[in-house]
Amino acid sequence: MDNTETPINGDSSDIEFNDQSLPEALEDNTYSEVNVISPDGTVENFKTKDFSESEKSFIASADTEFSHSDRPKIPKTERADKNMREAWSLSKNPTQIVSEYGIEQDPEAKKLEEASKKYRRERSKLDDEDQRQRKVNEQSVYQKAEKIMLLENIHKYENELRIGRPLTEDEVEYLKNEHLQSHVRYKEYKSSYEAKNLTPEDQDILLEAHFKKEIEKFEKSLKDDQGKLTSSKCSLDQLVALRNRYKDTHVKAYTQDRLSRMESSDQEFTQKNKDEFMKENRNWSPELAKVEQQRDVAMRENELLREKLAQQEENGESTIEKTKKERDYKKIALIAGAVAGGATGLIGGVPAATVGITAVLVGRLSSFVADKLAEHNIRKLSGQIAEEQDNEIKSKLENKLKNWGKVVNVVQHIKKFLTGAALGLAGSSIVSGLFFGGKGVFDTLGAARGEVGNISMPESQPQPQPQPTSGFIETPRTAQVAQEAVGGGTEELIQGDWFNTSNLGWDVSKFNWKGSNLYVPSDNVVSGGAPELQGKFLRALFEQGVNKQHLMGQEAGEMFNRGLVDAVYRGADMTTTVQNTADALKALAQ
Amino acid sequence: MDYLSKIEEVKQELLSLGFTEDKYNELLELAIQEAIDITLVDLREKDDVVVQELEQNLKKDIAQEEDAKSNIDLIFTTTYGEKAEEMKSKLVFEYLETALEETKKAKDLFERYQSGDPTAVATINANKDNPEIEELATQL
Repeated sequence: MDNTETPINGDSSDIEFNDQSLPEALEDNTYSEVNVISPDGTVENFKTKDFSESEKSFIASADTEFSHSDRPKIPKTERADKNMREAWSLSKNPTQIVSEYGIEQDPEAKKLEEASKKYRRERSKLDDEDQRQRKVNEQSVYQKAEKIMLLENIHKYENELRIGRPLTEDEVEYLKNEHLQSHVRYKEYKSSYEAKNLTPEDQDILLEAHFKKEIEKFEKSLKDDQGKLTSSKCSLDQLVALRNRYKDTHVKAYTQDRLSRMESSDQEFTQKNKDEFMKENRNWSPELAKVEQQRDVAMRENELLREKLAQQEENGESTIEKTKKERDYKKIALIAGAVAGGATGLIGGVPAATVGITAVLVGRLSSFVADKLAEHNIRKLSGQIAEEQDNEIKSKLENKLKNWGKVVNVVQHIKKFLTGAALGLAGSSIVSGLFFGGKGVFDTLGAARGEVGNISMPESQPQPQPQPTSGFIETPRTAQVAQEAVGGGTEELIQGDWFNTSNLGWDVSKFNWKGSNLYVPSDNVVSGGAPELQGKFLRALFEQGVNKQHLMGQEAGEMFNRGLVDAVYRGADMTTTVQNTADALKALAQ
Repeated sequence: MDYLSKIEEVKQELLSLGFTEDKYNELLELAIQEAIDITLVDLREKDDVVVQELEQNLKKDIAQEEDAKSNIDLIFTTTYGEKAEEMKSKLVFEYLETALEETKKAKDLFERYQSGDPTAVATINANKDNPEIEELATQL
């Protein structure tokens, strides 16, 4: 192709522009990733700038059905025995108990207490958070007071034992068992009864019978002069054992009781909230709650989708913007090359290329596409969607935006064909062919303005078929033939691959032509096709000495057309037909 | 308006101003790409059903020129209806016409600069440190 170029005003090849390394648009990667998982396991990925999401999160889609397995019920903790509870029951105000116990004698605590008294307000006047905090504080003091009471109760029990008081049956039984447990033979007998799977009651009867003397001897050691069982006869170890047992059982009971009360409190709180909720939401049901939950998830999905669509539109527009910028650079390069022509080196101390670019930029009109985009881009679809209140309209806009983004993506691929990149082809006859109705610009140009010499012939006749690579370039051969053969001021008859008859005085409508330009390519044509035969016919006429003067006038045109139709479309011998036509034209001119 | 004839006239003028056939063809490619982009922007104004139908009818696996051509025709027809063909040539013409005007202005300035016209020299010198020109000089 290069050797067929006919630069009209200088050669722009001296200035080479590299337009491959155009600036890349900066990409904003600060997105969170949300993955929506469908029931079938497919995962759709969304990018969002909503940073309430974690960097990467997963949610179930709205149509996901969850199955609830019954949680095992935790048995409610029972309160401690009523008698046992006496050990920590509060005899007076809990704050007073804590204060008297001396825990709060810290000077700082005193200051805080004074401040709290000074600024103390009624609970009802506190806001929710302060009320909650006060309740927590009060519970803490109450719990502390109970522990103090329990501790004092244990001390009291220990003191009474030490001073001496009648032992209860339970205490005697405990001390007796403790004593027998240290007896080797007792342990052996007990083990053998257990091995025989005797019930505990039977074991006790047998053991008491067997160790009767030992037991009587032990009980006698705990009796005073009046024969009463008393703690004053207990050894120190026995007193410690009784104290520890009391302490352990009561601390354990207190912990259990405390847990039981907390559970009750939680249940009461939950029930209270439930009651309040039900009071305000009389129509609530688990089914309704599930629907609402699904709705919330669906709304979140929609938000994500909307965000994604907005990004698609932005991407679509940024793609258009980016390609526009690339085109602008290329256009500047092309114009600068044409303007600078063959100029190289420095002009006035400035590199020629720089002068060329500067001249283009200074004389440049405002960006064409930028103007057009601004014209059509007044309201972005994503903006309209965000503002739209009507869900139906909103849905339509979202649908449009989604499909528009897909169209833009498809078009990006088409553009590769337009630049010939996908086909590996050069030359814009293909490009314009793709764009302008399957023909080169010249084809369409002529066809549209009714000047192309496509002769209307019977269907069996071959029709003019312009070939993709033939449209634009004026080949040396065509030009040479035109120059050599036409002569006599008839050069204007040949324009590239076209024979222009508009200045010959022909009424081509009489010939059933679609226009006054006849397609006469010399290269890259289908052998035997109408375009090739039209070209051969014309060139052969010129070679026979026919020139513009011979072709002037309607009658000459009719002769030319007759010969053309015979040679190209009716299968007449080309050489004979050309010779006859040339002779007739020359004769007419004389 | 007969835009195709106008395109031909613009082409001849561009050739007379220093464009070769190849360079003109490159400019024509840019014009066509720009026409398509403008059409895409205009397409957004169409009804959602129309855009959806277009998207469904577009050939996604484009392996041949015919597929690409079919898609281009579909996009233009959807966007401009019966004026599709006219709009193709109109948009291309407008791009080329703008390029022609820019070329004329640039060539005039360039030639006046070459001949030492003080105004042109001052204009070029005033702009030679223009950041946009510096950027272009590094990118092009």
